[in-house]
Amino acid sequence: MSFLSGVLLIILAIGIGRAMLPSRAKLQRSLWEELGVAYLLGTAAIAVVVTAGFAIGLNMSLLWWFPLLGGIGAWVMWWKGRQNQEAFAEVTWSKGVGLLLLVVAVASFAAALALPLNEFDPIYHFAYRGKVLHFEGSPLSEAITGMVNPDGYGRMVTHPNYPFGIPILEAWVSYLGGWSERWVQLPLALWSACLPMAVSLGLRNTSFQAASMGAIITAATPMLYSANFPVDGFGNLSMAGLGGETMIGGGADLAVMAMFGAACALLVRAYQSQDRRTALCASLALAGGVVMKNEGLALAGVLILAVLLAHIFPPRRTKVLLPFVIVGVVLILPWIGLRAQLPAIDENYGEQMTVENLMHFLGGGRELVEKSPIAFNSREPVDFDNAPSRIGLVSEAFGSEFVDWRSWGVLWLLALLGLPLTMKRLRQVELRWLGMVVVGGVLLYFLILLVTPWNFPSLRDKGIPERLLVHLVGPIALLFAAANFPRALSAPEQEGKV
Amino acid sequence: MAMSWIGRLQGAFVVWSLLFLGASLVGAASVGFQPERSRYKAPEFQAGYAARPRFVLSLFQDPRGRKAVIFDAALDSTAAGVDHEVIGRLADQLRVKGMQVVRTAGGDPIAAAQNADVIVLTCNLPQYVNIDFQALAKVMRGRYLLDYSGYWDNTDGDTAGLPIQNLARQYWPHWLDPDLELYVEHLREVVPEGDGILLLPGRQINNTQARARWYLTLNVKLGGRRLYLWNPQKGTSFVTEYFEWVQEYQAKKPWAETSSVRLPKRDFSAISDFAPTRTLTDEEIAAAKRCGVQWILFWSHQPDFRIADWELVPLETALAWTAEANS
Repeated sequence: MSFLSGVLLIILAIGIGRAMLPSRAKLQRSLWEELGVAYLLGTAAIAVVVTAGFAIGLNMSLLWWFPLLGGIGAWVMWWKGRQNQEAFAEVTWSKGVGLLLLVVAVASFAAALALPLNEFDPIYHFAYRGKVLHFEGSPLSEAITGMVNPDGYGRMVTHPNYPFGIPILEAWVSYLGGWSERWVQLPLALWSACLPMAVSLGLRNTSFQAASMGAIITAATPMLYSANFPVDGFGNLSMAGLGGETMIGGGADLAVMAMFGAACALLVRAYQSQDRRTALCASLALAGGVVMKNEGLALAGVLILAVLLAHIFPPRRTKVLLPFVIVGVVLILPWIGLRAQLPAIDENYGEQMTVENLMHFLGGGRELVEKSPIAFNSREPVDFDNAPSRIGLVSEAFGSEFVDWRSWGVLWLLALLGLPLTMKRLRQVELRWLGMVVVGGVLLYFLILLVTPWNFPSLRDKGIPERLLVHLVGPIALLFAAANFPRALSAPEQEGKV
Repeated sequence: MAMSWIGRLQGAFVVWSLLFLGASLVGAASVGFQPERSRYKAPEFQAGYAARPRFVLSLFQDPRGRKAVIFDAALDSTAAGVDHEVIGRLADQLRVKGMQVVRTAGGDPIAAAQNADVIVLTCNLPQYVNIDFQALAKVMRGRYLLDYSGYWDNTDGDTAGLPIQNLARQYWPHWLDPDLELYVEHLREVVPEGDGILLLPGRQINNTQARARWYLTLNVKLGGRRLYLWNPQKGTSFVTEYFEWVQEYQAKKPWAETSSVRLPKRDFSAISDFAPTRTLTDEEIAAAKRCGVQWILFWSHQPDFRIADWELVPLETALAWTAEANS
């Protein structure tokens, strides 16, 4: 039953997402692009609306009906209007590339479901809170809010103020047939498959070559599936998918990646077509990323800031800018409201990101060695004098990630090469802000890790910063392909009138 | 043109990605698409442990005349486990302390264990890993089992009244621990959904290994029950916060203010004198009442899950012990 619930949720999400997309006349797309982006928009809508429901005190048993009724309604509307629908646009890739994309998508979906939940973060950070929603109906239950009490005793929950996007999808699947450690992952198994479709949609108007290249660059990036493969060399291939390096499954990083990539792709198309509805879809995808993991909120800030900065110089496109920003903020607000009611015990990076802290660590402030495992376990006193500088450690970590071909291929080389090309095409607003998003995203994570109150080498052991940098795969693929295979500027654009 | 080729180079990494996905699927299929301990790296002997004989020696006030039996594979190259030379060093050091040391070298374990005070497992030979613990318990004089190679399941020893101390490094994730799974099943049967459980360490916490946070796993696996812990903000947070939790609990040391309670019969374990049970402090009683719990779950903080280290007690029983101790 849980399996069928998972399949039903996927179908409903596609229906909801399809209903939100503009007509195919306004936003040309192939069947595959529509399915991929519609699924992301549908899951974003479900997670955002249910989060808003929680914020005003509604319960999962009531909110469960929204995706069901919304999805059925969307599919009925589609059925009634199918005669008037414009035809799908042709696919942007060759048959060979299409087949390859399909094989990778199916394999990633199957591999994500090959095991029940079996990694620390998916089990403790997300599935536990999914179970709270399943058993108790709301994040505002004692299971989460009862963590902090004056007498010091309380309920156990890791990261109580993480967003509830993933737990909402898991709890929805469990509502009819009970909790299944395997099938709650069904709606979470499609993130890697959907992102290449979103990138292709974003680049379709740039050129077919760009769209095809963007899709294959994205799908080929190993980090969409696992980091550092093979972890212990080719002698231990049988352990593939078992360690903390595995990205597919019940975690939230790929969800943020897919949502953020879709938001960027839709915004590129919105800018090109000057279509407000496409911009609103981009806002929804952006909010979807926010309700998946805390980093989504920081990335939303980067994207909004980037599009605002991109409009300092002409040509300006305020027709899509304002709806995108305003609706994006409105959709994010319910989560902010809900989070204010949850215990804030850790990851309070807003508090850490002070000028004083930044200056301290930028100026060579030492690593917090007193918080290292060795400091706690060793009887030797901590050697503060020889502690390495935090900025050196973080720089080294980022540098080693950028050249780690096992995790990224040559994706970061593409980003490096794509950025100068954007400088040559500054008249294309979308290239301006895409460049700023890539640079700003990396800079954001660099600064966050620079001021982290935890021991950085311990975070490094847990897959940081690669688990954060994966959020930027979408914009990097869009940037490189758009800059490398540019569209011809229209006459008004060349004259700076648009 | 060059850019286009670099883009294609990135595209070629699809082969790498497919290799991972294919290997994941084949690996999962090989064990019936379930997470299996056998797929992880084999347990690893930690050389520093056996190089020093302190784990064996710490079991006895006076080790002289005690009999230690080492289950080893001699020079059998097919067996995995502790290095032959290291075992020799351990044996020598125990002899220096006056212990009688017998090495089985692949031979009959039960015969060698006659009147043994302690058994040390150092290899994965099937005659040792799959030993009949009931028969072993009958022939031993003492009852301590040290597993340096990580192949024994604690519960097998527990049912025979033999506590096993695992000293090997395990690579499979802690939520796959078979002893934990067994205990979770027991708790699910005993504690109805909706009931509350207050977790209290029975004795000193002196282990900072992240794997010792079994309360996290119990919290997830006992969905529908309410589990409470002291200072969960740190106890459940990032590993460095957890270290602080250990330090702060050590400083708080509620076990020092209370009395140990010996049980004539354990709730689940067959090893009666290992029970981590104790009376409650006033603060713990107040917390139990505020949280509305029905149960106290005492535990010993260890990186290896042993059912002997856990004891579930109805709150009324723990309150009665405390009242009796205070009267």
